[in-house]
Amino acid sequence: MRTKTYVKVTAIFDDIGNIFPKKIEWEDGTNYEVDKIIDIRPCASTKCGGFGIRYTCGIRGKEAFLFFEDNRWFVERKD
Amino acid sequence: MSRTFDEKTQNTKEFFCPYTSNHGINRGRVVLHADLNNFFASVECANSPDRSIFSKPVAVCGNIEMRHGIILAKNEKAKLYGVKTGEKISDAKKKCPSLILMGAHYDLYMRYSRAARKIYQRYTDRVEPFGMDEAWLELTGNDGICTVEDGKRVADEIRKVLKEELGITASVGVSDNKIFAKLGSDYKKPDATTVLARDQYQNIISPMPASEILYVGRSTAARLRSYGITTIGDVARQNPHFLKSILGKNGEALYTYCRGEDTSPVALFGEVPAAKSMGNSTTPPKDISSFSDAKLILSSLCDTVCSRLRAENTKCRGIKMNFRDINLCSFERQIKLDFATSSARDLLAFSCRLLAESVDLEKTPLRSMGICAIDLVPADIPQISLFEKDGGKKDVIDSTVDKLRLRFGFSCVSTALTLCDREKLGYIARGYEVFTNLR
Ligand SMILES: [Mg+2]
Repeated sequence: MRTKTYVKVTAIFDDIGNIFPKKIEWEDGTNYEVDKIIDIRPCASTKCGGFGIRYTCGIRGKEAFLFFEDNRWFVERKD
Repeated sequence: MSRTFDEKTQNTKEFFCPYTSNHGINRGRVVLHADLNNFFASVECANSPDRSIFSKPVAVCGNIEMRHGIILAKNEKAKLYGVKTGEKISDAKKKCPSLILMGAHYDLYMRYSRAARKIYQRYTDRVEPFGMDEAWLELTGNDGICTVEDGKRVADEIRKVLKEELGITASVGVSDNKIFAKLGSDYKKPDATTVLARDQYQNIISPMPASEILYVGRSTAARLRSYGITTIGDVARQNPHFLKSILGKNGEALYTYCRGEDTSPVALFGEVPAAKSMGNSTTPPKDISSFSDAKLILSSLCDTVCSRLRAENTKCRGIKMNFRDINLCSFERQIKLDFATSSARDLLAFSCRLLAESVDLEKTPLRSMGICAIDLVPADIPQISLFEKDGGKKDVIDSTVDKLRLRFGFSCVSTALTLCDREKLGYIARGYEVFTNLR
């Protein structure tokens, strides 16, 4: 099971309108730097429901999906 | 080959329809009609964090706690139990005790609807929405699109993209005209592509009931039946003058539709308002017996209708109200406005006036009430009226409200009036109804 978890994100808005997440702040206050963005595409979240822009992020050597949905960011958190 | 208009020949099953010839009037056109399956229910499931929901029967309804709540939409699983749109929650629960009920979230449906239309627009700028969950796409003239088989490829791709990006399914019809494309999207559900064009005319389209054709309602179908006309092919081989004599102007249109000769183009996106009217009605838990209660309910109805008008970039120039009193007597009244508006305050003011003129609530309370914005026009045409003098202030307020709702959800802003007693409202029992008339 995965839980749709909304997170605080620091992002760069570039001059042509692209948005790139840089840092994710977890509920407990831990910060995760987004080391690289591997893929960006519109996509439904098959694990948690909803749809938005899905960023495949490289974080601390692992890959994770970060969704930008209706002006909020969420991750599919493992339970 | 020649055709005869002699009525005696109407029972001959094979006849020559020019549509199937090499010179058919729509030859070379490729038109899709996409219909999102069980839209409200699909969106609720697609958006649900509980992923096991897809294997369960689900229905979307008006307010679940209210005694008059009805089913607005159901998923395929609920359909298997015989759950029907429009029936009372209690009846549906009897048929299917495990039915999962979900409240309606119109802002969510609008978000999915807009996203689907954006996807369609990747393939053509001629996307004509038909209600929230349907749209025509004209692919004619697109690179590499020459035949309906090319159209089928695009249709399959669109279905795949809708599943990947939104998590919902669509049925898509492919033809060379809008009417048969719509017929195709109705033909196989859910999640299917159906080509219905000239090659399918004799074997599939012609034997289908005429009532399957868009705009053929129950009364038209009954009228046709009384003359022994039941199938699309039956209509197609009639004398058009005869059809006109029994159905009026619609008879001519129907003749054209059934012969695959409807040439109406798919409108450019944003060219026409999606619907001819937009309405919402409710059956509150308690009968409406005072003007203040009625105003409370109207305020909420006007609010939802106007949000929808603005979401579709539309204004209305008239209001139609329908009432059902405690003796179950139904009637409707309408009023023409001399300006176009999408302001809930305008709609409330005029509907209250109409209500006061039409009903004596103390004598005969109402069981249900509905309001419908009619005579819709695109919002960007400036409208001038002698009686409307606030110089666009209303528009600013309304668009601010819309922006807030987009960010924080529909219920984040309400008129002060609706805060007094939410119980009385029986909030949105039937939800939006989009009426789309012959055009
Ligand atoms: Mg549908």
